[in-house]
Amino acid sequence: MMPEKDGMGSTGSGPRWLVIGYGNDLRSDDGVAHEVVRRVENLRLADVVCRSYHQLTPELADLIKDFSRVVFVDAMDASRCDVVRATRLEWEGPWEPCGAHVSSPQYLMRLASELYHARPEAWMITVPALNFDFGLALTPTALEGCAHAVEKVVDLCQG
Amino acid sequence: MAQRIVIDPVTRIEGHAKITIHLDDEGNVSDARFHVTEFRGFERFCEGRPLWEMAAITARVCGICPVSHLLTSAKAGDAILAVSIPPAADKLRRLMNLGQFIQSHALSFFHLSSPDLLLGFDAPPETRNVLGLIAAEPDLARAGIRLRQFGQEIIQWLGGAKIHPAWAVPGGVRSALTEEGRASIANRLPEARTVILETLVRFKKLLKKFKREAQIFGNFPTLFMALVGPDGEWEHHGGTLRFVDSAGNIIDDHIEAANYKEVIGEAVEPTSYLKSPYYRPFGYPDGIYRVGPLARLNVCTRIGTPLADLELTTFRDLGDGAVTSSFMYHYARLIEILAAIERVERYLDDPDMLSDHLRADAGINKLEGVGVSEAPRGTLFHHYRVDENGQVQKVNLIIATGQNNLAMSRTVAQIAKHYVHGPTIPEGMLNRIEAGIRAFDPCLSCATHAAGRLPLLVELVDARGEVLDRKG
Repeated sequence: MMPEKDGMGSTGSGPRWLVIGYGNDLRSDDGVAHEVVRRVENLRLADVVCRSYHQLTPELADLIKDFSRVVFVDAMDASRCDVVRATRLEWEGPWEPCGAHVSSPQYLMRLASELYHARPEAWMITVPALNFDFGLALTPTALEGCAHAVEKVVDLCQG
Repeated sequence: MAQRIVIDPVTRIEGHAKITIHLDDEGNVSDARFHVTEFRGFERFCEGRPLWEMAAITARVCGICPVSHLLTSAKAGDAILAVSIPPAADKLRRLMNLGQFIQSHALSFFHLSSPDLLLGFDAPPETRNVLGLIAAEPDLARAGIRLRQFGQEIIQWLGGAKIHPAWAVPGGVRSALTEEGRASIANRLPEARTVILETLVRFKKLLKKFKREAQIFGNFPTLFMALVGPDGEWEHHGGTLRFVDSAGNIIDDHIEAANYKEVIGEAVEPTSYLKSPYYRPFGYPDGIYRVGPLARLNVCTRIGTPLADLELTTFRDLGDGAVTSSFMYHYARLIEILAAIERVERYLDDPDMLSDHLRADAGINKLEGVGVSEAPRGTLFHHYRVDENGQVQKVNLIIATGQNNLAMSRTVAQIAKHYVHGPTIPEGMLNRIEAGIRAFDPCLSCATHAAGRLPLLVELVDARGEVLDRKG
């Protein structure tokens, strides 16, 4: 499989969007972002590049720098997030220092900014998730959230 | 009254840990421990799974070292199938392991340890992080990110994913490198080589600045263990085990993976989820040994590539026999990146990289198998017992970080004894202790895979052994 390359899928006009879904797809609903990304990818939207990751890693800053808009998609415990939410990420917002492999969207945005002076606009979409046990299936709650999350991604990319 | 200093959590390492330092009545350090406070349980929940799933399951032990577990698990599977895998499959697995060395070592050096090394241990903590590093050394920070990306791309070209690729299987691998992948890797090699050569020059200049740290960051005699090739050369995915002592003498050699239990015992301390392996003939804890980049360079007779062998000569001048300072893990890590890049370059010219002969098909021919491979952090063992149907009955994983457990605790004690003389602790000292641990690049996700139960009990003990407080 070819590693991600800068600007794939670009028609060369308008903002280029990068959609990053992340989570553990062996932990049931934790992998819902992968399903969101699959569905968005199937829509073949112009100037939208989709990527799925088990986790966010620092070198993704090198990918982010080449896009003008970035949407992160992640699962969130339904007790903290009962509906799909799209939140604008602030550049100067709080960030946690990177552990060895765990990066946050905010951290990646700061890295892209500091390393490459790249400041794409960014959103975080959280999808309610009920079950984080071992498994491949999504709960009805996550599936419902998945459909809404796809709508939100499309709205953002086409809005 | 005896006191205890707790550093919790330890930062910029993989996982969660804490350190306790015990003081005597005079306020001097009497003991120190490195505790791992997270629990995983992989050995237990792998039981009952089909052998064929083990490579993919154990790759999930960790998001930093999935390739190491994948490859080592596949090797244990090879042993149970009793097959010799096709030469092309062996080379491709090695290529992926080299990619893993590059990405993991690059993360450790550039992202986790460089803020200490380049900004200084006494730099303000709010700027002594990767963003501070970017502000001070933007080119180096970018180069580090791209070097890690290069290693990740090698893994991704082979396995289809840079994290948790389900690519290596018992008997071989699923696919070869594509021509496009080979061209892409070749295209990025010159940049990677330049970056690591420049970083080595930079690091050697820094050594003068960190003479004191090199003296006290885990600088003590221990054994060292690693795989070596047939002629004692640097090895990362085959060969046999070798132990050397701190004078560089070979004390045990040509140990086959399947016989690891003859030389390695595993002790368990009640205060940590991390096991404490030791060299069995010397007993516990006298059989303390270190693994990983420092050990591999101490154990091998040569690396086998020209630029890395030149660096090895310089590295060896830092020791009398073996290089005993754990601070030099950083240097060894950089040399291994160079060695990996040189070996990747060789593989790219090998027609086997594009071969179709990738897998030996077989059923369950043995009920027990051991796989051993060098992970970036050190020697990794996967030992499986299966039934006639290939259902896993028993799993034992020995992880690099566990094998360095005794040495990490001793490192903490050595640094603390140097700096702590009473209850006042400067920030620079705390960070030096953390940095002493960070030199080993511990991966606690990998290391806490064992099934067990940690008694949640905290005791405060004075110099006479009386418990002053107990919570749990």
